[in-house]
Amino acid sequence: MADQTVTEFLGALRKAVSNVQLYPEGHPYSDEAIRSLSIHVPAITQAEPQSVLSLVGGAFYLNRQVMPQSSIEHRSMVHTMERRGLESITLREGATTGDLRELAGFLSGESGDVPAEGTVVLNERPYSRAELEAEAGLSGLRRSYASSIDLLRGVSAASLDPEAQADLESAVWSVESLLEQVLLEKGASLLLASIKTHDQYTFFHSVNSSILAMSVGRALGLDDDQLIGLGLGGLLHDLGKTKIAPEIITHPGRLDDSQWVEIKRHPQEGAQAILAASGPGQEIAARVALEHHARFDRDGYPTLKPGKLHLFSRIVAVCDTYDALTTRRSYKRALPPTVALDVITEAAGSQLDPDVVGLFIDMMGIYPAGSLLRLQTGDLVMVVESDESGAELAGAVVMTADGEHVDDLRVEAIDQHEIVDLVLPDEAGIAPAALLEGIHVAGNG
Amino acid sequence: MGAHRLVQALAVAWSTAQLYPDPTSVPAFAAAVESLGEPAVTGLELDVTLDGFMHRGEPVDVKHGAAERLARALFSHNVESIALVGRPTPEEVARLFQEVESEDTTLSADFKERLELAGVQAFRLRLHRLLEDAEAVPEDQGEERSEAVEELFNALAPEESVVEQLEVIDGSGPRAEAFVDFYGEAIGSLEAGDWLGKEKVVQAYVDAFVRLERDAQVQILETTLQHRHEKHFENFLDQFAAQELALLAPHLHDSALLLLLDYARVVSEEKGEEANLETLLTAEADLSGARNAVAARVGERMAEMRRLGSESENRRERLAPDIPPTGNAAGGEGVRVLNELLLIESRSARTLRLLRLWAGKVASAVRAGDMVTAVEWSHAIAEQGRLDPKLVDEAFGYLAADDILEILVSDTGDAGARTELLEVIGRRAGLNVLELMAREEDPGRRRVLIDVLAEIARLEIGVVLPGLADHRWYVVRNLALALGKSGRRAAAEPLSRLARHEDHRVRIEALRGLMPCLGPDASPHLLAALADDHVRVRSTAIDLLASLEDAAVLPQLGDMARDDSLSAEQRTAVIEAVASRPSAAATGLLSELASSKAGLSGAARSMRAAAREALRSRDG
Repeated sequence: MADQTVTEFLGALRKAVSNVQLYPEGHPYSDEAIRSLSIHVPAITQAEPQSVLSLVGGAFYLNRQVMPQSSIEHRSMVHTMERRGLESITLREGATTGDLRELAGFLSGESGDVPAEGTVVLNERPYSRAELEAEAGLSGLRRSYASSIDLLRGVSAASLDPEAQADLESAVWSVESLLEQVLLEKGASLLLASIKTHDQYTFFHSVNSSILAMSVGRALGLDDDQLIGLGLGGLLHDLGKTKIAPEIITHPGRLDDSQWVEIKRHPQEGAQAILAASGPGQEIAARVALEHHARFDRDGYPTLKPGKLHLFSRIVAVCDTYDALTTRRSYKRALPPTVALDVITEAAGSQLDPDVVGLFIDMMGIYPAGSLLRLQTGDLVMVVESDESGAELAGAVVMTADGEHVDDLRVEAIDQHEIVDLVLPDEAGIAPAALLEGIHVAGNG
Repeated sequence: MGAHRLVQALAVAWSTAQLYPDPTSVPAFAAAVESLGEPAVTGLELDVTLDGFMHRGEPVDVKHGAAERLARALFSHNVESIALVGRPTPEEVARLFQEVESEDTTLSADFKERLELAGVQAFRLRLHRLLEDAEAVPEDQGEERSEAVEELFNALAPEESVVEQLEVIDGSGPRAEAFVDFYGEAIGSLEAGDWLGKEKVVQAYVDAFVRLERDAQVQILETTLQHRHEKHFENFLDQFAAQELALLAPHLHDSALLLLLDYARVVSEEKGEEANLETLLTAEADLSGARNAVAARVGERMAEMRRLGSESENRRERLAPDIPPTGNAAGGEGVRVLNELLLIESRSARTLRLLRLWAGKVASAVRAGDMVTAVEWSHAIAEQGRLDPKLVDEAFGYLAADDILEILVSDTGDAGARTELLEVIGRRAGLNVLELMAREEDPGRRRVLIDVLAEIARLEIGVVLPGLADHRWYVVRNLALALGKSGRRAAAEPLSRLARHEDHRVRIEALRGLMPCLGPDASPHLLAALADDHVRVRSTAIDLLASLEDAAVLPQLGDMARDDSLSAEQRTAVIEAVASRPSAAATGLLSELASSKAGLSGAARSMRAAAREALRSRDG
């Protein structure tokens, strides 16, 4: 679980950089942030007493291993390090709080000096770029995903200006890039689409919905042009939420009537924003945004003219629901993928199109890629491939019965009779998408 | 002027700061900062946009690219506006730029604090409130929270901290009680508005809950259900999926099970998607199975769907007709969406925005020469009957811009589509078309516009009528031409008025127009025109009368020829009208008039002379 460790370290580093900028040395907040950062160091240096966190081609590597989840989740740290000309951070066992403060100070721009010796050393990477990149199998997929997140962040910021138009050209470019990867790496794409972060839910949810929708479209035999329209719909379906007051979007618990009225406007807000910015061939995304909550039985919102919802809207509705159910959101727990499929099957025919639900489950399998299953042996396996009935199941043991994380991921067939429990990634402390690259390499090997 | 100076000075200072490691030693920087101290710029507030700075809604245009770059850099920190509230020192400005340059937008929520900490006081910044900021705000309320909660938040895994607290308590019952107490205390120690804090507490306790033994879970659930109307217990319950609660249901006391059913009903009513819980609780399914029983059920459902013929191929076959054709007319989707949006929207300001959006769509398609798409878009409004006419007129006014109309009357793109568009536009903005026609110098394009006006008049005559009062004779003449081309009987009344217009050129066109609108019934107007003062009007009337049947006009012509109240010229014109008719009846009337004894006036003599001359011409 090196990737999870790095993700936590980078999260703590980000907080430390922020606090070092705000508060002087000796201030409790500043000291606490550095202390928190230091707590994460032993996990990093556990494998190698001198561990190197490198940044190459927009991706983080711990020693020689690429860290896909960290690379996607900590885009801002990627940008910060690139701006500061920082290519690697070498952490030695027992890194001191003083050296970690130097690191945070350097990244914040407070200090211009690069520590040359000590327990934290900068820009002393023992591996060449080529060496590292040779280890990363899915850089294209990862980059497409990351650039889509960047794009959505930009669209979201721009949408605060009522007169500004969304940058649909870039959105189309992002979707084309994602599609290329979906076509190239079907299984890996679905696994990547299981990436979850609570902090930036909307962005990740939108990219996941886009990938899932394009995968369903592919199973349905859509051509590239159609898939791009569908992917664009998935990517932008929740754009309208950026137009709703943040207090309402992040409101905990149930909403009152007036808040509901506002929330229910997000499909039309999104449709209007997309329509305003769209060119020929892109308007389908506006229709998806408008219809994605209308429900198959037309009992949803907004109330639209009678008639069938567009096929793309029905597909995105299923993918949207699935990803939302499997993601931990504000005041809402995540469900294991299989439980989410159960909820979706329950909603087939009322909220969701039963044929699309069927197709979705065909594609995902009863145990979708990324599912964590407890076996009779006590081992925890992550599903990598699954068929519709669950009979053909393949996965890798990611944690042993005694709680040890497994780094050498080997994909093997899983006997579904051995499954005793479904486990939430949060509960197990495992982020399936973080294992993506390791599993892929092992799978090919 | 002040805003311009302010932006100019900021731009110079910014570009200098980017070039030199220590800008404070560069004269250009010092001079720019000096300008920032001028009274004219103090107190000015600039809005920050991606395209540059704005002041009071207007862009501040300076010929310095750095202004735009600085605005973008500020924007990336979510800065909404920046104001100069004092005389800044060069060091202060340099520090401001240093912070801006760091470009770590993830720290935007702290940007103002960072500036304060850096001693930047001469500038006042206002930040956009982003979603992430909204989440970040309560996080900084740490000072308000109790020590226990703060400890919880600082733990790497908060739920573990809760579990550790509970593990020291023996027995499921006491552990469950302690769980509920701790949870209530943790929530109670938070500020009312500290939503993020509450969310963290709820999540920590829910995550801890799933780690407890079932007996404790059941007891906690029972207590929670008893107090489910309290907000924090309601939030706690809401975290669970229907399946999770259903699995615990068989272990609850009867009274608690009833409470759970009640909760399920409430949730089902409030949120349709959670109806699942009620179904699960009332179904006869075996709820005591393990968590993965759900997977088996999905499998069963899938099998059932297969039995019902829902297997993959059938599904694909059923969905196939719904697949949109590739490269489908995407405009069609846009038109549909716009139509739906207009139907849903009840707020007039938003409706107007939608109508402007529509006008923009039509206009951009026209400008791109894609008339077919433009026509498609134009129908989005045409199908809307319930819109406020004032708003629609405003949108059409925007659409009927000169450049759009000029493209539509040019030779660009599909001619039929162009005419259709002109008609659609003209029906709501006929006067714009009229004005364009008035200015049009090219005869060919003018003819197109007249044809369009004719079509508009055919469809909505009222749209063009205000133009009849125009002071320019040629405008009214062309409108008369268009009214005539419309061929509508309703156009006769305005045309008959124009037949008495002060300008003879208008009168001529009005007479011509009356013929297609009234046919033989136009004769009274034509006959009356024979008495017109202007020879060309009379001549036109004569020509037009020639096309009518003898029976419709000859008796009247005879009467007019004998009318002593008419002048010699007028009566001669009447003879000309008779003479222009080749029929025997006309010859007979001429003979009769030539030999008429009535009238000794000069006019009568002239009339008889003209009749005789006409007869001679026929004989010859």
